[in-house]
Amino acid sequence: MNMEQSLFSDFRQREVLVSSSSMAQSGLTLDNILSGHRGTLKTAATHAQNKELSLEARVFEALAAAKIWTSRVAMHLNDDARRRYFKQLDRLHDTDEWAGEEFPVALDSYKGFIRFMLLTKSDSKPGLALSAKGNLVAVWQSGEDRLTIEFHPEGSADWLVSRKLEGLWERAAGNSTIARIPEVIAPYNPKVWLEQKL
Amino acid sequence: MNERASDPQYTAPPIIEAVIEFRFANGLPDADLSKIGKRLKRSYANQLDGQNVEFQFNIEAQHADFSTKPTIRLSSEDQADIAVIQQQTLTWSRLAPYLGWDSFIERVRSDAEEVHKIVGPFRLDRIGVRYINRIDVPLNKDGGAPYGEYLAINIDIPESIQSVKNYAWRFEYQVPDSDLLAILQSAIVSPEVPNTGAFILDVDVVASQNIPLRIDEIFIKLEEMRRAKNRFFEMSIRDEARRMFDK
Repeated sequence: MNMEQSLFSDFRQREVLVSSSSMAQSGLTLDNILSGHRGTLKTAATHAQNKELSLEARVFEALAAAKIWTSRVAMHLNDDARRRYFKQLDRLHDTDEWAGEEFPVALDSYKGFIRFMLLTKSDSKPGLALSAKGNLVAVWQSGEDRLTIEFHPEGSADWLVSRKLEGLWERAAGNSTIARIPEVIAPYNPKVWLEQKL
Repeated sequence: MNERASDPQYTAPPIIEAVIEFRFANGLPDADLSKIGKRLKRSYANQLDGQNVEFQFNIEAQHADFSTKPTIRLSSEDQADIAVIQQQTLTWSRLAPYLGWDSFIERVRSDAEEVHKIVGPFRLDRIGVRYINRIDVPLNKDGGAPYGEYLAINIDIPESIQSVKNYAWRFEYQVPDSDLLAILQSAIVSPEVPNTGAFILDVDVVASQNIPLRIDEIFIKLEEMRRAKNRFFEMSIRDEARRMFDK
């Protein structure tokens, strides 16, 4: 286990971190890396009692994982944005509104969204939706102009631009890495979405 | 040493997890664990009961042992405040955004007083104050992360080695004129923030001798440990890092 893995990359690993953060069991973190093989390796894992998770439990785990991961970048987010994202996530996961086939948010898709917001240093307030697969979809609207991005768990994103320029609709779509999106949508002046403060 | 060492309060501290742990010399009875869980649950939005499974592999003897122990994990709605109750330990964590020592210790004190009502005097054989920081160093135009401009403690590498892909170091230090042990660690980890390199700085201060029995004295001890933790953190970073934490 490297140190990155030992930190809370998902909720269940987070369970391990709390233990491993405790000085009594810190052998799980850097200690093993730095001291190398000791002959005896001690490890720990926590298992929730429900093996077959209900929809509510899956939603709880997905939301908890997203919120815990957010804490890893929270020092780069303003607190209003963090609270807003959490509120939006909670609203999206109101299972009373679900038909039963939906997936809760995929953590890596959510990470892509947050990284995009950090990359573009955007204080904008996009609307958020969930695709059927649990991918996060962010929508920016400025008048009739719209930017939609679906963040895929593997680090890419589908984007769709719809802008009225000189009275004519122009639409473009593509798939890019998150790092490349600002560059590929630059001709459509994304500032109208990413720099808007509603 | 920087004058802020006694009480640094940055606007964007790099703390990804602050941890306070009490380890009980004789453990807690099972019956008390669920009572503690019920009592503390009033202050937390979520509770997850589970089993902590411990494996011990002895590779040379080709032997493995495992045991299970009940674990109660409490967390706030935003998952930033966490308490974990186990037979041997009580652990409190605060994830980022870190709201400062006062807020953190107040929660620990309030929970500890509730636990004290159930179990009586604490017989602790170890107290830990551990802060895990991640310094996100902006990449320069060559794509490198000049961590030496942010971290003051570094491995002394020959000049012929221009850059490294990974590093990790750890040292332990008996704090002079005290019974505290400081354990400092640092390593490169995968970046979470675009266009940065990520460097963990882990400051762990441990007391395992002369631990008081009285709860008010335990909290005086924690203040001493916090001051030591702050001193070690401040001596581990450079002004470039301080400017970044105060953005």
